[in-house]
Amino acid sequence: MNKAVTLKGRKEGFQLILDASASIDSILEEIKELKVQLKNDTQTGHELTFFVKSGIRKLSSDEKKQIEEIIEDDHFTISSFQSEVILIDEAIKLHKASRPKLEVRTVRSGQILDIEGDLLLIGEVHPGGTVRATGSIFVIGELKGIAHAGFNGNENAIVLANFRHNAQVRIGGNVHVVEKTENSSEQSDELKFVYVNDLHIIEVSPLHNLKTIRPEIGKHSGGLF
Amino acid sequence: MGKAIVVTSGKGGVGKTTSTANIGTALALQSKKVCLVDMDIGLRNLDVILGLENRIIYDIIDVVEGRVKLHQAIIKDKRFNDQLFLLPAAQHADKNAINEEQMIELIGELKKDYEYVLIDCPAGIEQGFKNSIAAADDAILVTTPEISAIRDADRIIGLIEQTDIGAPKLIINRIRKSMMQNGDVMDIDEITRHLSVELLGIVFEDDEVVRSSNKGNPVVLDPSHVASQGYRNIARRLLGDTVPLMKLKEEKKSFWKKLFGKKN
Repeated sequence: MNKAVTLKGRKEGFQLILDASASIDSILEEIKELKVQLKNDTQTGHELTFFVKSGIRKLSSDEKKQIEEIIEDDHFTISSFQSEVILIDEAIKLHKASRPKLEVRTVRSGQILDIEGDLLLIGEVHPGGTVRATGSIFVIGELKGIAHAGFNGNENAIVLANFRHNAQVRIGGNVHVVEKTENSSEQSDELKFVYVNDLHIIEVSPLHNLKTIRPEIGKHSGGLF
Repeated sequence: MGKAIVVTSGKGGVGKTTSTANIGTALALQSKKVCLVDMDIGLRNLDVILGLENRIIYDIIDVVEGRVKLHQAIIKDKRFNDQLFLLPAAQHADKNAINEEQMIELIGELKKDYEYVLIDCPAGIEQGFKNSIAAADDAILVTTPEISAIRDADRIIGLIEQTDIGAPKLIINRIRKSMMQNGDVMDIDEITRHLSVELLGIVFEDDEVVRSSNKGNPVVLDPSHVASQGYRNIARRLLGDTVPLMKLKEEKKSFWKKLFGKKN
């Protein structure tokens, strides 16, 4: 029969490996036995630290407390619990924190797309629609509405798009109105980006200047450039 | 102290927003200082027709909720020298985001600075309508010769008459000369008599209205169109001028004129 708890010696201390398929009761039982055995085997006064590895089991805080109560005394301590699984909530948080966030959709009039971190939008922002990000915004598609980068005041954020239509770009507290007149000759498809310069003035620049103006942006956005 | 005028209709699609933009522009052309207020929160259009859509930074909801000062939200129309202004509606809120007391206070502020405050009312008779009429001194009622629009107009007159505003003034919009002459729709006299309110003006159906609105220019800027003339007359009547009503009858072109005459 497989043991529910395995003890392994490591450089950093002892590992208690809990079998994920065993019941918590049998684990607690075996830990108790193990503790007694260890107490007998080690000389008194010798301090031991344990790492608890629960494999693909997620220990509840109650269960952790029960294990701690059994193990911990004057000489034995548990330094950490490790698990190979996390809750979906935590996973979502981690996922959200990874940048940039990819969105494939159309942002229509009256809609607000709110993003933590950087946003890579593939799709259109229609007139009256808003995309907002605490980081930078990169648009593949047409920007005809409002793009607000650095929403919480980050003036290092940029907005990158091909500015072929009337639109509005905001970075932090700065506003830039993109105005296209019918007879404006420069109907180029060139990508441009909007940024806030050293004098806190909002400016538009062609894409090839991005690396000189914002060298850190590549690292920020997970090597997008 | 300026005057606040609400432009309303009950029914949708009869031309409230177009009328607001054009009357406002016409008043501005007469060197009046005008502020247009879009009350169609959630479905705003007035900014589009004026070609100011991408200039909106703050809106009416930002003002009533105290996030910004009133003057920060107002957009100046660059085509006029400090004559025409717009207070835009919010697009990501609804009509219940504002109430009558807030409107009265807001319009009161505006009346101090502007000679005319035109309020573009949303369709319907719900909160948006109540807000729009709450602060108005006068009302302009827009209808078309269609019986459904006239029914709704009648309902609106009843509602407005119960307030301090009194009877609204009537604009009959989108008149198709041929249909009215053939008796397919009620004619101007019939509509005015039926609704028994003062007629402020008539506007003929004109493709140019849509064409120029699509470009962000109110049609009234170009005086050569019939609709433009209609709106200019309405603005002059609002200012107290006596202007005769436009003729419904098309001048019959003689055979020779048709043959040799220039177009129009």
